[in-house]
Amino acid sequence: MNRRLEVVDPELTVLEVIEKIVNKRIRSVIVRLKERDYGVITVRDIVYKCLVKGIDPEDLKAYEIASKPLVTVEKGTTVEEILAIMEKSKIGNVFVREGDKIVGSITLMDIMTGYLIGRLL
Amino acid sequence: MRAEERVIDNIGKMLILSLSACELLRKAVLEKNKILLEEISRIERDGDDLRRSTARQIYRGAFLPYLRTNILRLVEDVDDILNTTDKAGKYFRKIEDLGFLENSIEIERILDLNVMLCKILSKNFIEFFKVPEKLSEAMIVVRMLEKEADNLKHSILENLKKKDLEFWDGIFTFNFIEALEEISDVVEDTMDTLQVVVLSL
Repeated sequence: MNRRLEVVDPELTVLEVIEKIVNKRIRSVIVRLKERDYGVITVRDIVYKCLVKGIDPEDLKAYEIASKPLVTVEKGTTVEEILAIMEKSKIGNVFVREGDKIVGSITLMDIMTGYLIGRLL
Repeated sequence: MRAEERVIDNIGKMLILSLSACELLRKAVLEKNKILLEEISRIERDGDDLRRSTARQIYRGAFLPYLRTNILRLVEDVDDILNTTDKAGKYFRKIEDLGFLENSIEIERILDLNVMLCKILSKNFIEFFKVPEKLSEAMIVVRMLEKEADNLKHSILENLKKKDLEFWDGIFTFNFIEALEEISDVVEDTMDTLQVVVLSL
């Protein structure tokens, strides 16, 4: 599980989100839409919902391109269950929650890395 | 024991030392226990002894001449893991304001990555000579982990820029983080050299 989470303000412009993703070298950010209501912005959202449509990323707010709902799993969910959710929802990233709190994320890349490390250790 | 076996045995010992040094660094940083850093310096000196002894074995004729350069380079790369770990420890010792460690998941992750990288190398070292395919697989993993460490470093430095630090603390913190990430770089270099050695044998 990756415990590095970047939560951003919904009013940030897409350009500011891009800046965060580039500076922090991450693949997605969580958008806090309301209290306990979150969305996610991945590079995919930025490209398909903004850039290819010819919209200036400075004219669009984070909440306008955030994908909802956030797909989450309870901490302790098995890798097999997570893979099944990813396949069913056609996503490569799920968030891990502990009660009401989001505590991390797991990507397909993390699962692949974990599998390869497991073979070596 | 043949001279060649002694050389491989010494490199294996150096790799075990590098794993111990990385584990100690992790413990020292997370527990903010600077006394433990003395032990890393001691381990680094033990590594130096092993490096010198290995170089002597090679000088006396271990391995065929065309292999010696790369074997010696491998020994130096492994020694560099120990030197870099010690360097990170020395910078950490100089930092007075350890506030940057509060809630720093990223620093903990780099420390974990370094331990994991050294474990992969030390645990599979002998196996890599017997099963070169395993080495190719390990190289992919090491490259992935090194990239993650590099990304983490940049993210940590981004956060560090926002902090109001005293000049010297800022410099030592920056150098500490650079050295921390450099460990994964050196492990990657070691893997590259190891691959050349395995291919040459």
